[in-house]
Amino acid sequence: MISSYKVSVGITTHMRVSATNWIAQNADALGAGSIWIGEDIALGQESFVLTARTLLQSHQVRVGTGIIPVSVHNISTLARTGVTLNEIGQGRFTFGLGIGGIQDLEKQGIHIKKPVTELRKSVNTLRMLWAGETIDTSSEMFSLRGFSLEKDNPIRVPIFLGVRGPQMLKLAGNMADGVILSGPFDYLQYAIRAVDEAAKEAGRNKRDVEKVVWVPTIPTFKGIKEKVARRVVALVIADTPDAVLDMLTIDRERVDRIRKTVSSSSPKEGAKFVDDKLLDVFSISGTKEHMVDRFEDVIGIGATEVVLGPPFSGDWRQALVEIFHEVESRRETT
Amino acid sequence: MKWGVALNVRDEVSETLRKAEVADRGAIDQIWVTDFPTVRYAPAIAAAIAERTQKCRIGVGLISPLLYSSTQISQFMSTLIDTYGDRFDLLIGPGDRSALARVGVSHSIKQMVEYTTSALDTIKSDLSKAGYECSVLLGAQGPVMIKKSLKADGVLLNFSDIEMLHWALNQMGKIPTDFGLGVFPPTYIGNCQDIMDNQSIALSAAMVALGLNSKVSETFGFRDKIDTARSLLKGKKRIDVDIANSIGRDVLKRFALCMANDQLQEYLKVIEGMGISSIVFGPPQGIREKGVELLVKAKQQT
Repeated sequence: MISSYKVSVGITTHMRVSATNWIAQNADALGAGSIWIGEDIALGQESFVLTARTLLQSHQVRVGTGIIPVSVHNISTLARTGVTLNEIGQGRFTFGLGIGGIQDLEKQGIHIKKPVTELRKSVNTLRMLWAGETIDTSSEMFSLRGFSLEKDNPIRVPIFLGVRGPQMLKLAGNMADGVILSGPFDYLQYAIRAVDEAAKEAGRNKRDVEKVVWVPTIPTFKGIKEKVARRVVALVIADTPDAVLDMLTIDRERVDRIRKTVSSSSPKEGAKFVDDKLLDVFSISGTKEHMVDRFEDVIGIGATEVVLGPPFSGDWRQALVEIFHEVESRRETT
Repeated sequence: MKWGVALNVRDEVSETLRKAEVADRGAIDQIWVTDFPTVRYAPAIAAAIAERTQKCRIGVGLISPLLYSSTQISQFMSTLIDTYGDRFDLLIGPGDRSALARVGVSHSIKQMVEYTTSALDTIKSDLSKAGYECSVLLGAQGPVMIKKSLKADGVLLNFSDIEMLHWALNQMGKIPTDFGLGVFPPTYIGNCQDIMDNQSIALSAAMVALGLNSKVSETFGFRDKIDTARSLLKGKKRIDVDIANSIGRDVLKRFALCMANDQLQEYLKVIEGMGISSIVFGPPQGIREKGVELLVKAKQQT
């Protein structure tokens, strides 16, 4: 039997205001556990304003960033933003943080020698500032001298880490309130185990670390054409590191051909080589029944929450309603 | 004359929103949401204020381009406008140098000016190319920034004294007709008679005075006093009453408005005659809800 789990909605800063507003206004009624906001760096809506508005337009749902790269913001700004969003959401805000994608950072001229150390320092510094401490500290990325938030009351903002590699997974298990994971099923299984082991090593209960799984979900039963799903998967494959691909039982030749085609031509061309097996490995797509079956598979390996979307295309509003209804109806049956 | 009030100084979000509603109902034209070194992140507060108010314009700033990238600044302004309509203006400026140094942002004054003016060009261009109706103003106090402000849609001068305002306008030379001239001094209007009797406004005025360019303080004959106060500040790290006292009443008065309603009406007439079309009542006016109520009352008497 599948234990109770959260189904949430994922949005990104590159989506239209009308779409993100609809999700914020309807998340409670849908029964969503959280709304996670992904930052497409420097594209579309500004993350923190979008997060504030999502909190303002909803009432019960948890709202989290998923994720904000600590490397592109001043640490004092992150601390101040945590306070602000925590107050706006009256405790519903969760700060999803990460170091940032290496390619994105390089485009911005940011090189980090020790990313795990930097992320650990960032999390510790934020927690100390929110606890009301005055800080003197420095790192590769930041420096604070006699800085405090000058707040009378300490606050606690949950921190989730968006991580991938083994050292980062360990860090999340050691110190985060939750982890946001993305990747194929076999990788997720490995990652959840790694986080749980790290939590245990740190003297924590594995239940202390929530595991949020956010993979592309493509409800092809409501107007999203399968070719869109294949295009999304081609892009995901192109972006998946070799270390992760090596863990999978997949047709590697086909995968390499997709990566080469996406790189030399386009995701649309690469999509032509995405077969049903790869579609299933790299995304959760298909009918609502099949998608919820897959959610249950993911929960079965230890995840506590699955995130729906993006891409949002076709009649996505109705698709969300029907998927949430399917999840709810199975809960009632069990 | 357009009236604005600065909020988000030290309050929790709920208090800022309550004050914003008082200001909006009381026909204050614009609420300015201050940013660093105050604790809360101004663009998110601006969104919350937009949700809770109907008529007022909302200003975001002062925002320092040394703390945020030009892209992020353009992005949060465009997000606010896309969501809540053409209600927003932006005020940028280098920001408090010592506060920035505490968070690892250390530059020479020259670099701060260059960085800010370059960001001004980028942000204005980004927003206008995308078709946003949003004034981008520059906060200025020294001669270089005052002159550079002509590249913006307007300027908010960080002092109140009539002689200093005349000097600032002279620095600018020929001012385009559609350029927005405004002042943004520390204020306490309503029951404030003597700046030295009201610690909050004395400290706010001292903070502005201490940030003044040496050449300007020389021009107006109070460089010695400000230099003495700066030496004191090095030891104490934070502005206190001793530092305010060392600057003295006569100098502090030039940076702040501490007066009763009828005196304010006179003052506004004078600056309006100089071409100044907006005033932002800076802290401590908006620190307490009572201060916002007093401001609303003063506006109703105009």
